[in-house]
Amino acid sequence: MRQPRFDISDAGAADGVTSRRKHLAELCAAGFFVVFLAIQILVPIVQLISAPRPARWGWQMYSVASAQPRFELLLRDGSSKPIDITPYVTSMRGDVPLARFLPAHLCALFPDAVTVHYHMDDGSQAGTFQCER
Amino acid sequence: MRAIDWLSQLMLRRTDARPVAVVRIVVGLGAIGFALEAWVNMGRVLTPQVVDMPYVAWYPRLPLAALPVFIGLWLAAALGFALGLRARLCGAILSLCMAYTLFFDQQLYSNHLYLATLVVLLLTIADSGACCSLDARRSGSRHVILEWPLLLLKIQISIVYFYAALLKINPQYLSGSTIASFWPFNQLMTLSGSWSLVLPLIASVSILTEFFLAVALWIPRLRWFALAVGVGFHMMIIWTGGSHPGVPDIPFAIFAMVTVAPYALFFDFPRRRVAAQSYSG
Repeated sequence: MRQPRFDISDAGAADGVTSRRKHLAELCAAGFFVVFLAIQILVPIVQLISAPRPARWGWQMYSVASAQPRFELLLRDGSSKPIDITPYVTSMRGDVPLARFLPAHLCALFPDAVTVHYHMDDGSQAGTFQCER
Repeated sequence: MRAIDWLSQLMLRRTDARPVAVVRIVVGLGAIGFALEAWVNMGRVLTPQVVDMPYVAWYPRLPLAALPVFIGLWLAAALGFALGLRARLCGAILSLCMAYTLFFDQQLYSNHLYLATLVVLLLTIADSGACCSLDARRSGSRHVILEWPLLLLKIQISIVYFYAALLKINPQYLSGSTIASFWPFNQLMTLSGSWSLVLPLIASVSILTEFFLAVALWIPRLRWFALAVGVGFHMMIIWTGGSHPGVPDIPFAIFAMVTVAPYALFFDFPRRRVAAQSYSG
């Protein structure tokens, strides 16, 4: 006669495993709940206190009007050329680090450029970038 | 100790599966809009003329030729999610597509997409396809689902309104200059006299509205009023946020779908017929 797959002690052990798995799942869920909530409460506070506005990850929608960036190229012949950057970027949001990434890109696009000058129209940021030739 | 007890009980609590099904359908349809928006924006970022702004250099970069496949996957997942066809799988794919886009390039960050990613993630964890879905038709409907992901989603909506209001308390916003960049408020700037006071007043009212929405949805006797205020508030944003005067703004409309749909979670749905009969019997 074929033996049943589980005797009573096996069933007890199986119950134990199921119970432990269930407990682990609940523990993971509780951990997720706490971490998710902490991130959603704390990150916007950190952004509010420490980052210039507007900042990402902080639900700072339309809290400030972004200043408009102005870029200008100084060319090899000594002349200067203001640049409309619209074709070279996807977003003009205030939290996009244009000053960090765009000058080198403009140098690559305009072989005659020696220097890239930039400033925000509210005077909040300005700088010069030397093109590597 | 009391907090841990509350948390462990919360992990076991169940709730009605119908409100979350409504949210899943609306958010799934909204995700189709996000896919089309991402198609345009990612397509631009991948153009050689446009500058790359990665968060980290090692992030896997999708080739331009693969973009239609990526968007196709996103659209299929969004549709499947809305219909409740393998809702958990579609929700997981959808969350990943949205999160991938969010971290793809710093120019692609948007609060709208960030919120949508979180909402889809929580709906997926919540098993939002348990009822009113093709999955439910196929393998049977479940009337109750875990409550904690939905509680997180409700808190998330309040967090968004709360911080959006809090951050607007600054001299620039309160002066009305931010609002003045939108039609028809920019028309008020051209008027003289006491009209100049209207813009700061509108700015203050918008802040109070967001604070109100953050709180009122939790208060049963204010809930219906909050729903009306929330719908009106988002309609106003859609109406005034467009690039042309009076033309509704599509991205704001998609954002409104993702933000307003979770209001359903705050409401008690009518009792099921079977349950009602058993109560009356």
